Amino acid sequence: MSIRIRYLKKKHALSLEGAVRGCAQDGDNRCKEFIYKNCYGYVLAIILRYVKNDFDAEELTNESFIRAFNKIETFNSKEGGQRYEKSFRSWLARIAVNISIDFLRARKPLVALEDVSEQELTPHRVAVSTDLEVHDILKLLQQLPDIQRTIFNLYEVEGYSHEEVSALLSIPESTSRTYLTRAKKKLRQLYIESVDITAKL
Amino acid sequence: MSGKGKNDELIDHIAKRLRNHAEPYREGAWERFAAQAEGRRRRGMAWSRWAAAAILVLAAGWFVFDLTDNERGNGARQVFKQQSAGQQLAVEERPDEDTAPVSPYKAQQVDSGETPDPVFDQSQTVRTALAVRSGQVVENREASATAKSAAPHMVASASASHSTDASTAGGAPIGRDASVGRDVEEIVGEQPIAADPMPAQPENHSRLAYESQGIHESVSEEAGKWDFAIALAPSVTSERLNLGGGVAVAYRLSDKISLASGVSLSDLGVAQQHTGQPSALKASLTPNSPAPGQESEIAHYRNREITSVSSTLLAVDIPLNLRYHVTDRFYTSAGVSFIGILKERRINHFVDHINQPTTDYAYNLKAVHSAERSGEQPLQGRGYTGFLNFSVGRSVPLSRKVFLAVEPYFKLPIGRLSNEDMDLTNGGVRIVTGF
Repeated sequence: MSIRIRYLKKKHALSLEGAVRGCAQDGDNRCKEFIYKNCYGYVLAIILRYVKNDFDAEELTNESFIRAFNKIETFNSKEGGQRYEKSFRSWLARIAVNISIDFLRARKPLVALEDVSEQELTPHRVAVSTDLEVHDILKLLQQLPDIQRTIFNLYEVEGYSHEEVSALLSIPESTSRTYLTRAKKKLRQLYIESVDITAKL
Repeated sequence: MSGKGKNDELIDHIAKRLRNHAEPYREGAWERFAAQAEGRRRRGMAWSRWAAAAILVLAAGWFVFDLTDNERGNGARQVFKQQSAGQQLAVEERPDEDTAPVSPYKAQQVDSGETPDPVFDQSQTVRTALAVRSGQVVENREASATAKSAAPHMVASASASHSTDASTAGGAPIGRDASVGRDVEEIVGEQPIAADPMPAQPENHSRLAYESQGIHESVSEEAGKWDFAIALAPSVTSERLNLGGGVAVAYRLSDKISLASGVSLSDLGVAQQHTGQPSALKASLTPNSPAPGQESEIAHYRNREITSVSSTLLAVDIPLNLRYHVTDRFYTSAGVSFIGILKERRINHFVDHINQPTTDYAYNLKAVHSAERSGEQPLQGRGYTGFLNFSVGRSVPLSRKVFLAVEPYFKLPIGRLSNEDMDLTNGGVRIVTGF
């Protein structure tokens, strides 16, 4: 009887909250699939801010979901509805960010890549308009050194504080501030150069 | 200022666009993910499935073996050894195959002066005594022991070794559930019973085999819910501090309840129980004359007296516990253990009757204590459905996959193990590293 009830319940359209709760309760595969498909684009977008390669980004996205599903019972939110889903997405984003940073750190030391000279930054043509497209932004972003890009993402996009960034990347807070300033400066420079190239064309 | 403002505006714009951006779903991503996750899970769990299945099969086999052993025990006949006035009566269980058919209504009276068969004494396992003469049950006068399951078709054979006088005693078949004792004055008659061959129990075996198979199949299906751990378990018995350790496995039945098992090896130092006089002690004391009535006389001629028996056991312990997770990190469990004694070393402790004079001027005498290794190993090679386990534990995560648990536990001997002459009650703290 209970199996039948459970089966009938599953027939109903899932919400993200229901899927998360169901997954935490019995590790149901259908719930996992729902969560994966629902949050795939969100997680992939986060990872693409940190990782340049598409193939690596997809690998890390899957890694993030594996980790999330393994630990989903530890996710606990007292909220309901939209707040619950937002809370879950934040939790998922944190996992994705951590995995991305681990990936960058394992590949090569983050700080060693900081000293990229200004000359090495080759401006790319971006379709600049009053409403800058995301893919253009990503192109600009990907020209930044890893450490600057990471700090920019963590601070400006994800909303981490410098204290949290320094703890996450094992660098002093002052270094975090410095790199953020450099990242912003370079972004602006890259943006202006892109505008110039577009204007010349 | 306006440049800075424009720059901030640009950065804000970038951040906002990035924050709200989500990539489109790529077709086949879930299928690739599912295949990848499944592959990982299979690789990770392949060895653990086999280990868990082996443990379960081993435990089931042990259980079946134990049942079979018990059934044989029930089908065994009892042989009563009796001696003359004030002599000890002992009952021995022997399996059917070890004993030839015994002539009915045969009783043998032991001449107290004669030496009993030492092999017979050593193989004495059940310290029950029953005396029957002319259909009358002679009751126990000393310590009473609880007999095991009643066996209506049991041969009560008063067979004490080298007696010459044999008398017949009629009577009804004797059940083993009578209260029994050691010192019986009367001569015991031998009670024949209809040779009822122990019925095989194919239903039992097939059922257990089926259950075992069922468990094995479910292991294959639900291998994702297994937890594994390595445990170190120092324990304390009445004798000393012991050390043990092994592997543990747990299967999560639900969020709150899991079934835990494993295999552990422990080195237990135990001493004789304080209640009653153990058979080992008695046998060691009077190897040549088991007659209780003559103990004092014999002791008089002997130079030393045994005071205690201690034993060191190497035991393999297979627990089967039900664990209840009170909270995420706190749990309690209860269950039983199947225990097998791999090695036993007994030591008899004596006090010499010839006291050693001291050097003080008061001419006091000092008792001389000595210890001697005993050749007896009554527990070695035997398996028991032995302990009732109780424990509480608290686990602390060390990393994402590894946790450390501290688990105080207590083991209480049950069944046949509680009737042994050694006190195997023990407790300690188990330190578990899980992954």
